[in-house]
Amino acid sequence: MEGHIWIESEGLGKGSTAIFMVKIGSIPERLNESKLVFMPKVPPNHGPTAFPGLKVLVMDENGVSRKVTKGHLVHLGCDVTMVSSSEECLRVASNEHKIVFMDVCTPGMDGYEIAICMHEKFTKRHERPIIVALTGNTDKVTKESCMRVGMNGVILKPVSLDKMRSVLSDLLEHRVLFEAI
Amino acid sequence: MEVAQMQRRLVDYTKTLFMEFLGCSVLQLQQLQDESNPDFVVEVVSLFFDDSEKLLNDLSTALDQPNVDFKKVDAHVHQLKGSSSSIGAQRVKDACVTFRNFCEEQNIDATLRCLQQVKHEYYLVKNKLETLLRLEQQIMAAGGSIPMIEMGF
Repeated sequence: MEGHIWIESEGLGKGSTAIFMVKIGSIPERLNESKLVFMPKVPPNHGPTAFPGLKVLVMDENGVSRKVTKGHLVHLGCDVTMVSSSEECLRVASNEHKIVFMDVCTPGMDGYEIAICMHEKFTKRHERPIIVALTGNTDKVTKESCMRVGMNGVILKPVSLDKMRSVLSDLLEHRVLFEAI
Repeated sequence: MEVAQMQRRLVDYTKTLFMEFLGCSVLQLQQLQDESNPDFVVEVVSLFFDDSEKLLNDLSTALDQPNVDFKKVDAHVHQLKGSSSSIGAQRVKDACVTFRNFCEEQNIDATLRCLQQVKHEYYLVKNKLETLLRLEQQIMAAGGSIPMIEMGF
């Protein structure tokens, strides 16, 4: 079974533990190629990585989702402001914010309208933050609506740390990022 | 129990969670924990618990009304779907998707059944997450650090 077995003990009279690792046949299909490896904690190599001091504004009505997104961005070095409503978003957005992430899949909250308002608030392109929609909806209508109101990008949730890193990188380089839906 | 043993137990437990319940997200959340955010996992998970339980209560109340406001029900389920998706609770999320479909149909019986299903999935994942947190806390209390778990694809 391609495994190995060993015994651990704290000493005489303290008993022993037999530990074994074996490969077992029935692994769920999608994990066929995967390998889970136990590693001691080392600082991960972030590559081109971090974005120290990058000012980002995040609008998301959902508390858990907001905290996770913030966690990603803070881990990547960003200076993050969080808001939970469109009014707050418009009020708080400034030309210092390089990127604004908007969750647009909340019913009743019009992320599209905010994008239009942002264009009105920041008429000069170089002052306007890059506006990106975060959505759980994988339909063309959402994507087209975002493009129509002048958003610079659409990203599908949930977003992993690696994905967030490459999203930030792409956005800063190209100012545009529409994920294939 | 030695730190190394606890770490091994945590790794094994995390792997189980990965395979059965949470996908990559449980590993993701641990990745976000660092010196500047030392309690991230506990905070997010606790927030998820608080939010979800409130939403489940609101849902029970909303479905208990003589004239059910399905828009309100749908709004609550949407929030729960969002939270569970963010934290990687796939089965809760899937149950929410089904729930929302029946909300659209305004089907009382089906939505009540969905609520039970969502609650069931939620308590399952809550139990798993609490165990995970406990294992992590044991390690930290013993002076160890949470091991990084790498996925090799």
